[in-house]
Amino acid sequence: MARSEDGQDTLPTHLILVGLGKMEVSEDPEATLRAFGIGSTVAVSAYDPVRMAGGMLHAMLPHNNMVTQAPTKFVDTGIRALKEALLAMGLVEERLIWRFTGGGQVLGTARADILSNIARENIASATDTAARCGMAIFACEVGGHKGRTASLRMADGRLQVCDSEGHCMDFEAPAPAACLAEEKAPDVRYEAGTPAVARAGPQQAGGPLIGDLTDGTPREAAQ
Amino acid sequence: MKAANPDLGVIAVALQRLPPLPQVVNQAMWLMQHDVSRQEVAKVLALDESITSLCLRMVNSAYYSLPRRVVSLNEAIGYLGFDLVTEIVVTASTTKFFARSMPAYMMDRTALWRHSAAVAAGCDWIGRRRGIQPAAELYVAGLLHDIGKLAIDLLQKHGVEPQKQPVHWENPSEEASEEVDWLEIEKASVGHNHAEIGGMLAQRWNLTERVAEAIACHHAPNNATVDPTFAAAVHVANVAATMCGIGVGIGGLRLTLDDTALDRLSLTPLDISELMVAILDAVDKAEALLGMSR
Repeated sequence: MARSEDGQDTLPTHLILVGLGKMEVSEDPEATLRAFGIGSTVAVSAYDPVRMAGGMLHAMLPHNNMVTQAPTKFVDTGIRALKEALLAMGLVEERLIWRFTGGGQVLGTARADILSNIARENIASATDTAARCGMAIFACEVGGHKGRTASLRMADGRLQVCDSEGHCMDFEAPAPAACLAEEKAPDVRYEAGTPAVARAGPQQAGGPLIGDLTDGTPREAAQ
Repeated sequence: MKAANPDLGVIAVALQRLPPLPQVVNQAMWLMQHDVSRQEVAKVLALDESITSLCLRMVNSAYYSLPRRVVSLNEAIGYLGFDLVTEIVVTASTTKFFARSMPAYMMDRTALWRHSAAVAAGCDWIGRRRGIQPAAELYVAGLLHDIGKLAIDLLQKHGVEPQKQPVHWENPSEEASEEVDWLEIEKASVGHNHAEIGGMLAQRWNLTERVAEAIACHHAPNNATVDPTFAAAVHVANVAATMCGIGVGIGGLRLTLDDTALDRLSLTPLDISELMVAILDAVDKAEALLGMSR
């Protein structure tokens, strides 16, 4: 696919935009799902490499405590909704590769933790919810002070993350270990004893893995 | 806060190159401060045929779910109230004004408009929650808060004083350090940051003092003296919109939240979550109605 000057792919033929607070699924192998404007929010993607299908969620807040709002505005209920939608399409749960990006923070003065907490909790909620659902999830470019755009290509499951300054990183689907955390976000990392991850994709020989935010190498998750 | 000494060169060039502020914005502001009849208001707001029809389309949309079809602005004011109709008019009339890309900030054609509409919606929500008056002025301050960026982008594009351009602006693809302060970069580049320039433009456009100050102080709400609550509201709405990822440009999320602004407005973490949801809903709505999709 051709690339423009800023490294981002030029518009693919079947571009499906994932609006903030919404999710999209597709089984069109030529489609690309794209979430613009990921700030403190997170974009969660799931991909089935056999069916060349998947989905993306762009959630803005960590926990759904506003009953009147759509579940896809929240990371916890959104991930469950995305999983349900993908299973309803006949995708196989065990094959799904889950990845997420985002959770950037604004700078705060000394006491202004309120807002950075939203970003941190979005990241934590993505890993927690996946763990609760028994899924492995990989963090690809999270934290920092960046705005981002995420694109999931159905043809091969490549997740491309571009920041608001035009730098792009590609994360190929079968190699989730390539997912690195934003190195400059020391306050964003998994704590020791991250909740157990019960399942992993078939490509990951050697059992369940979870991307480690501290050094980028995959590690065995505690069962 | 006393506005910074107007740099006549920068402001003159900006005024010359920016399209004029839609007249209806000033008129709406004037009406806010004078006790005039509904008919009078409708007459003034209806100056522009295309704006009127756009407003009626918005007013008649499912969002407001009015009991029956509204055919005049006069009627719309009766149903929705003066403040809401003014906001609709001002949003509709500034759509074209904002619809331009800002290469210096790496923002596309819709980014500035989306961000402006988002901050205006955030101001509206905070204003309602805390009973801040006058509501329409706060909305306009939110809508125009980043107007200085448009001016700086124009200056950058036309190469005003290029020798002053800092490294990051000469080569935006350079990895910016975490500590980089974009307000300082602006200042080094054109002599003032975008907030200060926005405040000066607002004065030139004869917007009220508290609106000009809120724009000038939206990154430093503590400097506000005329109406610190106004500045705090615009500041918090701007941070919330940025966190939503709406209109995030070259500086990413590197903007500093002043927590005294949160104290001043007595906003809790849950309030901020609700504010973000309200901003998203409002921008979705406005985008659909004004056809501003990407």
